[in-house]
Amino acid sequence: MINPPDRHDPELEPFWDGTEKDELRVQRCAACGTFRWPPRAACFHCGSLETEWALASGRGELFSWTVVARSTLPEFVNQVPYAVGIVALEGIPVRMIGRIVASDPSGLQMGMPVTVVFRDHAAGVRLPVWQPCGRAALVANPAGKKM
Amino acid sequence: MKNEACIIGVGQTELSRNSGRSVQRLAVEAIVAALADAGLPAGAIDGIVSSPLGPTAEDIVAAFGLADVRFTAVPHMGGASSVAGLRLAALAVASGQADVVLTYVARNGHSGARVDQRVAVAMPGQQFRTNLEYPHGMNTPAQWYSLLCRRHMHEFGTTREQLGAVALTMRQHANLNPAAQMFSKKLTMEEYLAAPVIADPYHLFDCCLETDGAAAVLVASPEYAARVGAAPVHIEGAAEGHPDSPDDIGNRRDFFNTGLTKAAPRAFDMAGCGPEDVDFAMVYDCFTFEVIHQLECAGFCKLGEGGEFVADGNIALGGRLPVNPSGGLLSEGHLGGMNHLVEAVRQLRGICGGRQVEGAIRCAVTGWGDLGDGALAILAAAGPA
Repeated sequence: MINPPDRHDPELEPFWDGTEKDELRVQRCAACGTFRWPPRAACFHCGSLETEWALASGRGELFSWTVVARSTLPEFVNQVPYAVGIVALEGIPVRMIGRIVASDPSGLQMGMPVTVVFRDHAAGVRLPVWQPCGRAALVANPAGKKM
Repeated sequence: MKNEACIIGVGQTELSRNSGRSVQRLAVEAIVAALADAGLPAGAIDGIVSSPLGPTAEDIVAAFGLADVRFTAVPHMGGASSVAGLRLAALAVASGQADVVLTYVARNGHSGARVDQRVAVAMPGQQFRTNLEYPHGMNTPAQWYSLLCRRHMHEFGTTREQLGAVALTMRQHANLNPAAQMFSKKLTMEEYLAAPVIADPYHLFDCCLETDGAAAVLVASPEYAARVGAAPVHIEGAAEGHPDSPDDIGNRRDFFNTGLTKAAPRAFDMAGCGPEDVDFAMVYDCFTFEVIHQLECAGFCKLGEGGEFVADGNIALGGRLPVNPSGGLLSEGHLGGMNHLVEAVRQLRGICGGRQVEGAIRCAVTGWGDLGDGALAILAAAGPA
């Protein structure tokens, strides 16, 4: 049974609080400053349970992706082919999985710069998805505009 | 633990797209076959290692009226559970906690719950899948693992033709195995390359079969085997391992380092041998790239060189390291790797006819599961009687 995202998941709520304001936040150990993703209860480096959240720039590089041609997820059955992949964040040593929104998924390239955009999801969360940073992308979504 | 446990019986049902029976019945049939192979009554079983999905140990206790099962365990390592479970069975008999331990897989993997329904929700880290992946359209092993494949192609130049060499070799082996689901279906490189995309770079023939069927393996000590007159296949070494982030693929610093990378040295060390001493390998081929990846992780070739290794004929019967002479999960059928243990035992007994690995004395069996959990077992034929 595939469940919908949980706006009030205790470990993820600060993340969703951020995306609601078009902010991309990453968890960080409050004791030693080690970033981590996905969010967890303890620091893998020093073991502390003290947690804080830091703001990411919203830019990253494409680390890997797949182009899905068949899906049985109700929301995605009709969106094939679509790309979903791993983005290495700028300035923070973590990577995030997310939808890569490209009009032509076959045109994606390794290391391509991407930028986050936020889209409302049916379950009441605002999802961060990624767009290649070409001229067309900038024209379609001028910086600072809520989608 | 070397040679303190051995496999004394194996059994497997037919492999199909529609068994027409329950998974409990499939399990029972495979277990009955394994007991017959070992020459033992059901009542001899006093330990059970079951799979994370499918009939439970309790189902089996009740089905056979087992009087006193005193050891049970369930490894939670996805597809690596078969080899990890073999190790648990070996540990139980080596420590005297049980005399005869059964391990098995039974599934209606094609006619029942298919991969997209069954696997994702059994993965570790469901909170990450639910909040961070399903809403982005990522929910199947083909999608998760294709991320590894594409990165490997980028870093090491691994090609689709090299993945295709894996698919073709598995199919050629299956064409020699009357029990294989793809026994009568040939596959050419043209067909492989032209096949429809599933999750690019994975196309249709990069993906394993979905199968109805069951396989069972019985483990006992060598002393017990000798006492009851069962022919043993020795478990020389067995180990499990987990990647640095077993519940998340995205954030591994060393992206290709998996549980198998950690388990392999332990298993070889226990067995007192190395990859060069292995005559053939059963590699968990859920996807073509995973054969390349696991050959590297287990030390059969260097990181990045797996593509060339498989494309040079090394993994075909007659090659330097035949892989999956049965046809593998890609072309024999997918019983979570338990069918790989069954094939390994049959090969080490020398009974595989047209697909027999000549002079097979030692085999390595890999397990791969979830987001990179791994296991390795080293099995060896019994010495001269």
